[in-house]
Amino acid sequence: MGNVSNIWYVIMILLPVLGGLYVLLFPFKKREHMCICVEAITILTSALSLFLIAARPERIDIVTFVSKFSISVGFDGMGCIFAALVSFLWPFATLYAFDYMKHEAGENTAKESTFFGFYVVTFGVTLGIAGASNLLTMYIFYEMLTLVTVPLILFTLSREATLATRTYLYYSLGGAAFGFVTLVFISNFGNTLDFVLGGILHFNESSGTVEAAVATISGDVASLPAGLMRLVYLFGFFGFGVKAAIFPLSSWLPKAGVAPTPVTALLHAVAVVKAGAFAILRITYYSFGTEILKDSFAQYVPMAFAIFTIVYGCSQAVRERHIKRRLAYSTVSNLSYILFGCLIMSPLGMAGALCHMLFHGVMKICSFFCAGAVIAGTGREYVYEVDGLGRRMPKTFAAFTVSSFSLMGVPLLCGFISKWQLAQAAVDSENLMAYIGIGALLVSALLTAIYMLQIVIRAFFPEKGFNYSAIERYHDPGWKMILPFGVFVVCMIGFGIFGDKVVTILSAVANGRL
Amino acid sequence: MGFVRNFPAISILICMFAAIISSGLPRKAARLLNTLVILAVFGLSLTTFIGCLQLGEPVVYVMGIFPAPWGNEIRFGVLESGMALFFSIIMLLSIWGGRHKMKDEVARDKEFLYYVFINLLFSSLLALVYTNDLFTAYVFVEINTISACGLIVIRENGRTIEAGVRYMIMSLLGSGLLLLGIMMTYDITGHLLMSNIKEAVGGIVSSGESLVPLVVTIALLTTGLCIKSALFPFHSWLPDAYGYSTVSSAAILSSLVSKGYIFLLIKIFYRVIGFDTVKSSRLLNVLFVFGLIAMISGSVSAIRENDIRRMIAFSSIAQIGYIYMGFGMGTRAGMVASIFHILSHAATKSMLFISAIGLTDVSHGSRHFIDLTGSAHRNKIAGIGFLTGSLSMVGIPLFSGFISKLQFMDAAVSLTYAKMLPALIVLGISTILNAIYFMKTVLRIYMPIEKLGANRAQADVVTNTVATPQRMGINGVVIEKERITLREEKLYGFVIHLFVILNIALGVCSNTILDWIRAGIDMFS
Repeated sequence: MGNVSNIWYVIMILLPVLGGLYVLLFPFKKREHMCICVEAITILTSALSLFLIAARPERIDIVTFVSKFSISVGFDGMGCIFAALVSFLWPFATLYAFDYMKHEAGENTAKESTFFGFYVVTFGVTLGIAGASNLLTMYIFYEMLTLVTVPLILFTLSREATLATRTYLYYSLGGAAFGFVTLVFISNFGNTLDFVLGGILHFNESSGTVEAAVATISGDVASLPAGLMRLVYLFGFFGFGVKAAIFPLSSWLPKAGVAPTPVTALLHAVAVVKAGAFAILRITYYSFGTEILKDSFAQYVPMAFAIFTIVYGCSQAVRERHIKRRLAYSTVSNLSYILFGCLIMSPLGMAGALCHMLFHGVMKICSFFCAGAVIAGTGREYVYEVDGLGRRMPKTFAAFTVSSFSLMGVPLLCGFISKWQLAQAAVDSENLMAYIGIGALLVSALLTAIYMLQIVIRAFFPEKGFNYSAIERYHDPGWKMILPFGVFVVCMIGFGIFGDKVVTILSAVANGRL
Repeated sequence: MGFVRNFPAISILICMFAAIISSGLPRKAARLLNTLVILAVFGLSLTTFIGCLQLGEPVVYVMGIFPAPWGNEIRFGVLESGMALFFSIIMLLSIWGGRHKMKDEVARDKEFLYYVFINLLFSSLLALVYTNDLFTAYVFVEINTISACGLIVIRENGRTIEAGVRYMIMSLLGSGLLLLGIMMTYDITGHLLMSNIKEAVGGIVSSGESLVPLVVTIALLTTGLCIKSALFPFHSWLPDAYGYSTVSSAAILSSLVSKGYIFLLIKIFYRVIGFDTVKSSRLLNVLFVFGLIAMISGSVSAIRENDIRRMIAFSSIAQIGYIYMGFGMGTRAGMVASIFHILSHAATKSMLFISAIGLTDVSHGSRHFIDLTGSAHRNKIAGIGFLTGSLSMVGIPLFSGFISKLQFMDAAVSLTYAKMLPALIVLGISTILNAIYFMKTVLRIYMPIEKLGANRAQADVVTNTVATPQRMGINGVVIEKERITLREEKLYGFVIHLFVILNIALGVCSNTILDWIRAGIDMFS
């Protein structure tokens, strides 16, 4: 299908951005009309993106500033994976949001227009990150993502939300500034910013310097000591790592839990945070290349942080009583699984990281949606308040249970596959620190069992003599919320059983065969 | 080139004569004359700029009848004419943007004086940009100082008089050092024309004699201009001067006056001393260090500030730090980055000052953050201006600030490690600090106030009664909602639109502009 015009890439990004702006600037009078319009835009964009993933036309250069600096979009293997993930989740999340936001915004349609407008714009920007085929384009969309998600976190306008938004902005913009340092170095010493699997830098082992893998036309090659280049990688890792919530820079994520659930579920478990992990995967495998980084401090220091974050996130989740914040800490931990996979720096590790990126997206969005359904339906936000709700909201808690098991890594569910992949990659790398990482994965699985099952058990098996009549009035939410649960549960089981197919595709991507 | 050769001299002269004529004109006529003069200078500079681009080499224009070593000269290339063009744009926008505030800020019978000062200031700026004579430069530096001081004190309240006095003291100190430097230059070279001095300096360097006086001279010239352009340890006069003067004055002072001095310094580096000589004197390292400190300390002060105008003023200190850091890198790339940042900062900072006034106008004239809550909803266009300015300052792609940041980092990458790592790290930290205070303000002004609904009336009362002089900044007089005519409102909106367009144009067409800057630097030597 090589005859598909690559202009569709631009349309895929512009459609939600312009559509979202339309909803923002010309608010609908009736809520139903807005919902239909928003859902139509989302589904169209998703369809377009999935179609482009299948067709994979050549990349398109939208603007070229200088030969090195251009804005160009086009899917490669890894871009496809991320785009597929968000395109799959976004329509369901939007559907869920229609019901949920009724509870959050009251009858204020204008406020809802703002919300849905930015929600749709964010979709376009996220697809831009997935589709970016060079570092500059990705950086531009990355900064835009920071800005367009601000109104979503700020939505409730409470003091808490303001503080959360500020923290988010400072962390993200600051992180991007350090990511930018990496961009500048790569553009200067790599001669190009394009993403090429295996990296665009060449490690000259005899002199210990790094130079561009492809010389410029004039033939001059600037070289740099490898140690400095590795330091620059650390800048990039921790810069982009802000969005991926690596340990000392993770505090914005639990705070951002004040946002409405569709935002925490989709953005703070999938789009925004995965964009951070995605950016790190990009610079590791597609810009620097593992050749330079492997077996140096540029691998060990970040990996130590990732391993620590895996345990740290889980233990914070166990301590936390607020359900959404608990899930946010769980996200912190799970994001570091992805980073850990990435830092193993082998194709197997990359496949494991991508695998967890996909599966964690589905699992976490499902558990967040369940938590959101509880909040919307009952107004209860804390773990100790869910007692007995399992009987009144069986479908919700069934879905929650499945996602809990999956997060823990119970076989036959998708969480198991990705953890297995990560562990396998770690063993295969014969790297001492990666072995420690396996230990961290095990500890984390145990802690995950504690913090997730605590909720499940409380919901289904309250203390003896629990007074069910007190929660008589609560019931499962409407179809718009239940449908996404159902789909996600089917996915988790499906991926769990037919996981090898997915893994085959992912390892093809990691080996550059796709 | 033909007749166009005369244009720079004409533009300086018409500004001077306009200043003289304005002193006898009524208010409205002076205002009209001022606008016409700036528009005329815009046209003349544009023609000169295009002429220079086509010619591709600098033009020397002899003032009067005496030839080189004795007479006075004007010398201009792409950079000089481009800078004059840019200055005229910013000048016009700043004055238009502050026009509706003029009747509150300046006594009606003194308004003509304001235009006298503006014309004088503009003529001196143009002269600083164009002149090829060091002593002429000094004379216009003084004219510049005095008219800038006039622009500060014309508001006639305690704060501005104090600020004006401070400005005067610091500025005259700077001028004094500059004069000493020029004197010593004359002493060791025997010339006042820049091109002749450069030849003589070349002789001194190659002969190896009287090198110490040369270094002292460079130090004196640089320090003098650093004080005048408010580099870090000499910045104490700046927040008050920018914070309390009229809005047009603040915009002009921050984006033009300090830039005029910096441009003169660039000229001294390239055309008087020679950049290689300056580099070998290691003076640039000092500028580099102070630039870095300014970037951090300016931003930290801005974060601690609770008054929006003063916050923007403190941010200027940080931005001037960027420019000096670029000088301090001692490379061509660093200089290109600095010159681009001069443009970018001038365009952004004046926009921020003009937008801030729109925000304070709808907040009972209070500049305090608490009262500014939600002001962007009350004055949408000012909100957009402030948002654009802030995003540009933080360095979001597509705005001019991003290109500055990119250029600075690009320049930093090719330095030695001792300079590279500090530059990169401080650039990163400074971005975070910028994000902190600008984003804090943006969130504040976009926070809808309806939530406070019930407290709104009460809040009004509080604003009016708690308005201490310190908090209000201006004599404790609460400015009631001013009468603003529709026409002025339209002009204001138009100006903000132009600013936004200018900013994005700088960000998007940066390649062409950078090429011009490079061509201009080549024409210097």
